[in-house]
Amino acid sequence: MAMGDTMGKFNFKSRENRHELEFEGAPGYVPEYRPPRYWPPLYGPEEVRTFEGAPGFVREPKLELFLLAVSNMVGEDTFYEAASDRDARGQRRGR
Amino acid sequence: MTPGVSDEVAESVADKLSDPVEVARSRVLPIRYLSAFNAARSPRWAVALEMALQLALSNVPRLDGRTLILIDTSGSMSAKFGKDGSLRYWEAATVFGLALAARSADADVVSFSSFSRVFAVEPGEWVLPAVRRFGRAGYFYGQGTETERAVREHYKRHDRVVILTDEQAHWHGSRHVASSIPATIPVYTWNLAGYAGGHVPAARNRHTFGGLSDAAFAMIPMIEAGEAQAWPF
Repeated sequence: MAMGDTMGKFNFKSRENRHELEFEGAPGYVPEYRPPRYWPPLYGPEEVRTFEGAPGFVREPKLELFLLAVSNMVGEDTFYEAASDRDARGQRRGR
Repeated sequence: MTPGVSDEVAESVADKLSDPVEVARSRVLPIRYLSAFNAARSPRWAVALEMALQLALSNVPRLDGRTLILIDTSGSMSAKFGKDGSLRYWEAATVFGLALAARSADADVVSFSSFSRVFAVEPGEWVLPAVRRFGRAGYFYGQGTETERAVREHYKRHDRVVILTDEQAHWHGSRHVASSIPATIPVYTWNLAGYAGGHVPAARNRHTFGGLSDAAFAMIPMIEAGEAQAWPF
């Protein structure tokens, strides 16, 4: 997956290659990439990237929840992540 | 002299700050003593705040051997955290990094962003003034997070590597940021921001913990003593 697919910051594609006019049912339509389910695998392959583009590694959900809990004050924006996204992620991992 | 604070009041505050029971009971995050140090205009608070910080960092272990400590000073680490916005992520990373260095037999401290430099630790220097020196001397090298290169360039047969970071490394061309470190050497990632993606895969000798409290630092000697191979969940 190219970084430009998910991050506007790295969207280096030329305009005509962005497939903005594609829609479900159109010829050559490719469904949007969906990341694999988080659990399993326990130690996933390189399927995510860090926010700055290096290979990222999914965490074991308990570790992700732990790190979020110990470094997070609920309802606060962070450099890379809005408060609402962050709190929703914490709730998902908490279940 | 701080205007409006009498010597008697100042003395009783200083007594509380240097009382291990009071500091433990208060459950104040260690970095809050840095905010107080930064806010206090009178130097008379420095001793009490440093004592309180040392007491609050009771879980930071004494480490033998040689330790490489890397502090992320990239753009994202300059973001403020907490609603009052008095602290930045790099300050929390530096408090922990320099406290760990002070308790290590032999530590090399490196600041890394787009480039990296060694921060010369002065023997016996207190942590709070050292953090201030770190900030004022400008140990910030651009907005980037060249973690992999900093690890590769500064690793010289250390016994362990500690990286204090938000883990959001820039593209580096290796499999992960600690690829250059032998698999037998423990690499501890101290995560301060809790983002989803990690910069190393979970594996033996590649441990991730973090937070704004020092609680998880106790894991380092436990892991190295072989008492724990995994998270104690």
